[in-house]
Amino acid sequence: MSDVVPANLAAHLRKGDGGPTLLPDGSGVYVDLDGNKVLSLSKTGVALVQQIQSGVDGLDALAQALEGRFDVAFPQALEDTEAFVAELNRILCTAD
Amino acid sequence: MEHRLGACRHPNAALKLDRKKHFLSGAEQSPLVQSGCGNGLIDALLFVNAFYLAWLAGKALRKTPIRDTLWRLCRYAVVVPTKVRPLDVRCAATRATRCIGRLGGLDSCLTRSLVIARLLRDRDNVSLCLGFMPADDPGMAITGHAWVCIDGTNISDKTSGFATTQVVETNRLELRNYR
Repeated sequence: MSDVVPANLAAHLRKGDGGPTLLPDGSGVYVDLDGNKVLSLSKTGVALVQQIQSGVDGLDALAQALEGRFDVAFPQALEDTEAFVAELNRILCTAD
Repeated sequence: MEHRLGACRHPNAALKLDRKKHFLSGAEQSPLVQSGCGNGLIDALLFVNAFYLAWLAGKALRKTPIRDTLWRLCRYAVVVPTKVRPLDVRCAATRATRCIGRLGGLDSCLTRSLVIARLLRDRDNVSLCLGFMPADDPGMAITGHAWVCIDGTNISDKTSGFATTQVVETNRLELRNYR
């Protein structure tokens, strides 16, 4: 897998309907009105989407952000980040 | 008369009790459902428009994103008296979506809100809101809700509804952008 967030995914997350909305339990919701999709995000997912929207593209940098914010070792954070980004890309940027 | 008072609070129950009389007769209007013109024809007119829009919305929502569905509804002309109260529109939309639901269509808060938003589109500061609340258990689907606001006040839900307490607003579509 590439070591950066796919350009089309980054563009998709940065273009439109705002960031993920935080829910009272700390999880979040990302609504893609144009794509007719609603994503339910965990706290970690919310953090990753916010980082991508703020301009962070490198998976290493995203994993480091997770490592600093959550109690997780870097290798695990990197693995989770790669899986999350791949899944997000599949859902948001792949036609049904 | 009692069931008419209930007609606005529980439109579905009213529908069961006296549907024919309620929609076809202008007599014995409850203060709660009475339109500004005091004419049962207004309610009937609203219902016909709402039914048509709810049918269209239910069909469109199966394939089309919300924004496109709203645009689609806004392309159709509707006849709405200028002085009609939002409460009357809400009642008509609720009855219409319930009817659509019984006919196999989509009876949801989103359909109802789309209908209300379309019928009130030409007023100032009308917006269609979408929101979500956390799932009760991790791994369960989150719960979504749609409602309509005028000047920031929810006019499509009863004040005691869960929408006003637990749902977090995620998106707001201003209807002035759809004229």
